[in-house]
Amino acid sequence: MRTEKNLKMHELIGLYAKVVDSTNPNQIGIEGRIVDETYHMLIFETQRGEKMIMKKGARFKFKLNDKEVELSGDAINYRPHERIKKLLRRKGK
Amino acid sequence: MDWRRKKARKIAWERIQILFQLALEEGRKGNLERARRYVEHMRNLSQKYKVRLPKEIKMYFCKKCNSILIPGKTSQVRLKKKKIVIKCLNCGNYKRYPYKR
Repeated sequence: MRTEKNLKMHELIGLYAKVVDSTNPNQIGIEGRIVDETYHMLIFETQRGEKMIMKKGARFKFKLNDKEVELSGDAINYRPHERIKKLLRRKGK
Repeated sequence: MDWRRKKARKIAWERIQILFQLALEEGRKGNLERARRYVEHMRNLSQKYKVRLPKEIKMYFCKKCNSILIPGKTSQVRLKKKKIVIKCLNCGNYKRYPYKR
């Protein structure tokens, strides 16, 4: 189950999200469904087509069964399959 | 196994299930390139954290080109020589599973 605590290690694809802060002012306020993820980017599906948004320096608000979880983009700036290992290691220190 | 690896595997398994459902949905809608991408994510997770994929999932994607196999749409299923033969219509790769009589 995706919860507030483990969301940063969990699957982001398929969730609705909003860009709260970004280094590019044009991208602030974009919201939509996340359809793909790469090392540096999250890809949003909005009404105006697909938007690629840099994770670095951004903040995202995810909708998780009527709850809202805010995450910093720097915390999830890894490859999608390496996020679990990297983040668990940091927690143990 | 220490708790960290156990937890990592648990999360990886949950993510694999979510991605498989999404890949099936996208495949049925016809976004095959996106479905292929989700299968790629799913296989990366399983290889990184050593989570074994069950047969029900393994039968539904192509090991060569990672595309999702939906019978009648992206794959052809035949019974030949006491084997189930599944052909990927994207790359032409065959999978064969024997069945008992």
